Amino acid sequence: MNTITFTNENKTIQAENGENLLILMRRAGFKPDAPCGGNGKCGKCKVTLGDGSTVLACQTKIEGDLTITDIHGTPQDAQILMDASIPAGKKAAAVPRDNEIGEAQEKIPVSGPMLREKKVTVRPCPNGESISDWTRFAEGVGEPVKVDPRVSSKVGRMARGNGGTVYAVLFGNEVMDVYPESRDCYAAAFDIGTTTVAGYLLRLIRAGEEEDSEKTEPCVVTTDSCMNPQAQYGADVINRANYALENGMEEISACIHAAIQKLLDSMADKAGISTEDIFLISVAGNTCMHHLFLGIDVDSLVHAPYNPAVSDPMILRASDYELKAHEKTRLLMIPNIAGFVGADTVACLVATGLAEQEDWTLLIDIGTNGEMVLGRNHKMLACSTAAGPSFEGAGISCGMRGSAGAISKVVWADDHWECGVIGDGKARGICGSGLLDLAAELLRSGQMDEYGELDESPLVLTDGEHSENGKPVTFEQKDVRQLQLAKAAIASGIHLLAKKQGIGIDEIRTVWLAGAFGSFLSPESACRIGLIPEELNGRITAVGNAAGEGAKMVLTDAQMWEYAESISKESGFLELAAMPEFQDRFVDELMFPE
Amino acid sequence: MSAILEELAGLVAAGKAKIVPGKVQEALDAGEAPIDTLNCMIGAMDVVGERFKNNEIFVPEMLIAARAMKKGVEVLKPMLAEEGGVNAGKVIIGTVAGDLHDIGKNLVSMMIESAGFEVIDLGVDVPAEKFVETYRANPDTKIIACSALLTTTMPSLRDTVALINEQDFRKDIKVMVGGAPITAEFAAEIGADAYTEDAASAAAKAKELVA
Repeated sequence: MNTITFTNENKTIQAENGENLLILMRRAGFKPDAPCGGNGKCGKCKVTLGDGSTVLACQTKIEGDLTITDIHGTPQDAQILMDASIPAGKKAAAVPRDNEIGEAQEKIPVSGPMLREKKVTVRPCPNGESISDWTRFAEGVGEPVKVDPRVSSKVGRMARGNGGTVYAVLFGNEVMDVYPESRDCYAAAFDIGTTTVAGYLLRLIRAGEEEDSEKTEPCVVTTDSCMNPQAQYGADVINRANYALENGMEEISACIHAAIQKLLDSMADKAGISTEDIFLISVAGNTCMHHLFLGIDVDSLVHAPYNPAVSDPMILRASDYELKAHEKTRLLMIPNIAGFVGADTVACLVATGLAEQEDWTLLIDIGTNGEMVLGRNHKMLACSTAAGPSFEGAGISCGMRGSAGAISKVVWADDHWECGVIGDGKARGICGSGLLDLAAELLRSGQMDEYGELDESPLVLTDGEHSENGKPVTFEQKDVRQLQLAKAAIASGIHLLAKKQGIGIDEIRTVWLAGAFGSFLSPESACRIGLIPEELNGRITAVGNAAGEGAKMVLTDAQMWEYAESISKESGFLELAAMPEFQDRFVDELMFPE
Repeated sequence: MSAILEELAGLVAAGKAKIVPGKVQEALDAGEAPIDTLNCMIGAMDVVGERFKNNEIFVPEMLIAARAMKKGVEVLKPMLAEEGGVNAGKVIIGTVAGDLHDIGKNLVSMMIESAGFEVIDLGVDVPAEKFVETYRANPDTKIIACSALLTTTMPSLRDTVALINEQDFRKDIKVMVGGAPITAEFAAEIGADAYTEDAASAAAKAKELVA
């Protein structure tokens, strides 16, 4: 047996002599990129070895121990952004809140970890008495717990066969289950986007932790992602909602449940655990995804004034939503703010701690809708702008998503275009970040005026000879117009939020860009074309998948879950369409800065 | 057309909202009649509308040009009121109940206004009854135009037109409908008189309906 070490991924696997590295990497769950199927043609499965040399994984046979320091290629669907990079600074702090939740939810932990394991000594029942197994178990727990028939049915026998000791997994006052031994306990966080779904498997409790003096922090053990299968019912939320209204919720809900189950299964598989070890599942998504997941009527969402059917945080049973994990797994639905500002935005706020900032801070998550929040010191105002899918390449003649083959960087080099292509192969189209660069360079070089009029249309970025499919990658006048509409929507949102908060644009000290597009775009280009006001150039930081990060955080710490609720209630909402000055501002922003 | 009016037409078509009002004033100071100045701008918008129909220009330019026109008309308004102006009739326009989208509707509104109509814009999320009430208050209205942008508010458009169709004044007016998901078939099915695909055609159609 040989030991294969992936230093970046912090993972070690065992391999026999003669095994193929690419296949091993797949087995290890790395999703190596191999569009050619591993026959050595495409060069996408390149890896760097410990000695600094690079080889193609598919052409490498194991002949001894091997160290891989870098896996180069990422497959197309890995463009789903999993990581967050939240700047250090003031983070979210639990906010004291009144406990008047009335009849609402069962009591969840008020502080400390969401999930706890407790070693419980169950004293034997003395002869001549008849104290129930449950009562003696509950005594051993040492805190009030809700009586549970399933646990009581096995706890007595388990304790007797185990020297009087059992390990209870607790969620608030709820006993999730009891085990004869301490064990690893897991949770899963999901960010359900309109287009993509990102899943994270977290280990919340490590076996034997209670005996350890040092507590291990919850950690992400693996991740997985997929395209949202609801896309078959419409690419955007309106069409999907419309499908649900016309055909009922069942089908469209069931398909997202199935997708989540698949991710649960695959992540459990990768981590080598059973889904029965997953006790908590959190879900962040926009309000429409949230409603469709729960099978809640979306009628109010798509009719003015576009309010959600429900915004409150919910703790539900995963089994009620066709999710097979542990029998008692709880589903934590992160709260929404408004019809078009959902739990994903709340999760971003949890992750970034925007409310705690002392200076005005703007968070923008640009997807099909551009949601944004402007605030400081718990004075937050959110809005949603209909940016449309242009930044995802839709409606642009050679537009595409930011995946392999997309032109993502563009520079005008005096007499020709220099294009950076994702994956370093040949260009097939242009993605959002490429569009921003292109427009910025057109303005800089005077090939486009402030009204968006091109000197030459169509202009050729990559000719047919050098493109992936023999067709030139071009950019046309009508593409500028699409870009103008999208850009104006976001920019007017920023201006109106600032106005409503009573501040000038210049008072915004920090801009955080969440999401994939926000991570890859050039802030200079975004400012040059006025997508983000020029004054904010130099204050922009990408924060990655902050929604996913927030979904993870609420699973680890009860205070974070409470925090999600309090900020969702604190955050105000600005309906741009209801503002008389929106139209004027929008038309102003259609133009590019001079 | 005088050089100054030609220049004005160019500025309107290019959407120079900041310069247009000054140029209108300049034209008036140079002795151009307010009505000629207005017609000059209407002509410019006709050209813009035509180019839009031919896919030579797109929504952003339409919006920019229409706003420039509006700024120009504001300068003229007091004078036109004195003269009686051009009036092709009144049009009531609004986005139907349940829908808050108004950019398309506003564009139609501006184009129809540019075509010489007096427009009563009821805004967005307009209950069906409001269209009827507004007609009662303005019985000289020639056209009621209703817009729905979302697939999900098409039923609301249907209800609105149904209510208008029940009214005793229905024979005296024309009903126009529009919006991204609307088709001519849908318009006919719900009992509207006309549907047009874009704002420029809407203005032309409005003129045709009242001719």
